Amino acid sequence: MSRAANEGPWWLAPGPERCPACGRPYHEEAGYWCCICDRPVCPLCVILVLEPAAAYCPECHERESD
Amino acid sequence: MPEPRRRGDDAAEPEPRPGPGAPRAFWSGTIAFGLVSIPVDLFVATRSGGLPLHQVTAAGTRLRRRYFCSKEERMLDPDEIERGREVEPGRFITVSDEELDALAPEKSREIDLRRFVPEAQIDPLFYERAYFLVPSQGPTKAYRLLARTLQETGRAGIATFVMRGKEYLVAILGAGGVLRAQTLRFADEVRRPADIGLPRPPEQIDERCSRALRKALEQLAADDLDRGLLADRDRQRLSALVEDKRSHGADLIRPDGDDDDAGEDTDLDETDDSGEVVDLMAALKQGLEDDEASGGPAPAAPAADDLAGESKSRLYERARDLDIAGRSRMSKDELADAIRQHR
Amino acid sequence: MAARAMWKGIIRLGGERVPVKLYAAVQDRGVHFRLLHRSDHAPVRQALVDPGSGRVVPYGDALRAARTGDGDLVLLHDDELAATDPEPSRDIRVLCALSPAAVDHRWYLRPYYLGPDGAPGRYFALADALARSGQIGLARWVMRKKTYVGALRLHAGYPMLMALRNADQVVPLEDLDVPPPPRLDARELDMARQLVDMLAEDFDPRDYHDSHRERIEDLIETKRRGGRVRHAPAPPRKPAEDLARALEASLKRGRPDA
Repeated sequence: MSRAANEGPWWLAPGPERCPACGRPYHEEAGYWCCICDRPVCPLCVILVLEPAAAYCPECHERESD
Repeated sequence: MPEPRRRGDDAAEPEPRPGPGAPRAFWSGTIAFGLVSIPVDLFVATRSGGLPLHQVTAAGTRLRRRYFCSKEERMLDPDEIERGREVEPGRFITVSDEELDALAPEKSREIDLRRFVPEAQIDPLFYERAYFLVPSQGPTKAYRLLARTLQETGRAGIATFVMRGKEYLVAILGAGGVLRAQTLRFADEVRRPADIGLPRPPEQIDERCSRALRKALEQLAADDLDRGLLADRDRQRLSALVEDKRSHGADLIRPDGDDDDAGEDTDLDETDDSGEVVDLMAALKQGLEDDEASGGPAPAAPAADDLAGESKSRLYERARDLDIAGRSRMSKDELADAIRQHR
Repeated sequence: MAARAMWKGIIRLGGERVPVKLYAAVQDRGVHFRLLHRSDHAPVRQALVDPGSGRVVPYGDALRAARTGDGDLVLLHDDELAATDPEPSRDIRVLCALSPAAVDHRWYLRPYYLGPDGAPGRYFALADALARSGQIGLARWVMRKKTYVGALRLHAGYPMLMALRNADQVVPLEDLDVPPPPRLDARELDMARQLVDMLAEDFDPRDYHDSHRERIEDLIETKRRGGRVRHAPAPPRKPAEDLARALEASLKRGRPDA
């Protein structure tokens, strides 16, 4: 599932999922799920922690950091 | 006239369907049961919903979303971006689509139905996303046969396949003469009650409470699912606000000229849902039109009519008069197509 | 190891109140990749740019607007948007009771377990009531400034809330009128039926495994160690020429090992 004619790779193309943080339509498989609120988050908005490995949406990460 | 797709060389590449504004399939491949092969396109049956909000300047120009390098602090083109993972702090391993697609080429283009299970046995806990299937080329007899058999037996065909770099467990269902797919979660993708730490049931149940609850359920019994209960109330309130402001002319901006041409070089597009459902229906109808004689999907209507020579702004005006939804987001060809469909 | 509750609510059914805790039921096992700038592997973010000046506008400074049917824009201020947020509440109101089959598979979005929040007696009474009525509840609640509708139903004897999609998130396939099929050959229908019967089984999710994840992990590991990866493309599978013959051959072949 690689490059389509004029849209670029699928993981940058718009898809049926919508990022609650930025509102951008994207493909779920390109993104993550927030480990706190269980909402989807697109790969441009996600905040990743390496150790222990976890993905956060911007809202929950801000809340956790307080 | 679209060229027949050559299967086998481009693994699972979803090629753009013929005609402007036509929906793109999510995945193309074959459904196999026994030695019967049915070439199909998968279309997603769900959408993100919600009222799209745009970020704008005070003048009403839509702000463009661009990719941004956090280190160099500059804009990026899509082809400067790749995917990868941080394996150690500061060390990244990148992967290309070609490498990933090559990992499971068979699984990426075939849904091989090995088992048929009673549909009612699939717990909704496992449901992920729904799709519908359109026969992608040639005779639809095998497609119809499978749809009918699944419907009549009340069974779903189960298989695993790879789509967008992820392996999915999938149930193929027949309903109303059409094949649908429902991706399912794997057993280890779902927590069990013990994993959550839910307590074990007690010896005695609070009978009074149970009885009261059961009585309430009986009183609330309905035969069918009322779609009205599933309306997006948050969106409705937002739409009401927008409509209220529009009717008072409050904060109303009429963007000048071709705001939409700029949309063509946007890196991060917005999709307009409203025209899409019509396209999906059309795609399904077209795919199911039996055409064993021609052996291929019906060609898109030729554009040799009064709209062919029109300028984009003129087409936009016509679309506005016809109240065609989503027109401000359409290209010239899409506008012409939409006007034709309206006739 | 006990999971952390995401939210606390109170099921309101009839006159009864059942305090519950919500837990995410999905466990993400997927392989994820981040977006990186090719040249320096810096993470890629997004920025809002004013197309006129070419300048970046911070998200906080951008105005939000909605499009009207005419293609015009209505500016929406933050306080106005906040005013449209649903009223915060801990109530999970059961609106109606349905047979499980009334909710088609397309509606299901995301499952959550319910656990007791104190009052275990009422919690297990709820489980008991759901089990004995055989019905599912349709419930509405507000969580994190968003309205949810879900199916209140049992899984493995425990109550769950399965969040459902909104009406405009599901393509109304039933509204479609499908062109009628050509007459299907009775013999082919019969063979198809036999084939399905031959491969019939009960559904056990534990029978199926995601092997693709491992392949991706292996790929990453190989690349990490500096190795090369090579794959031969699989031969293409041609669509069957003759349906009847393919059905016959399938039946003759018998049941393959799944």
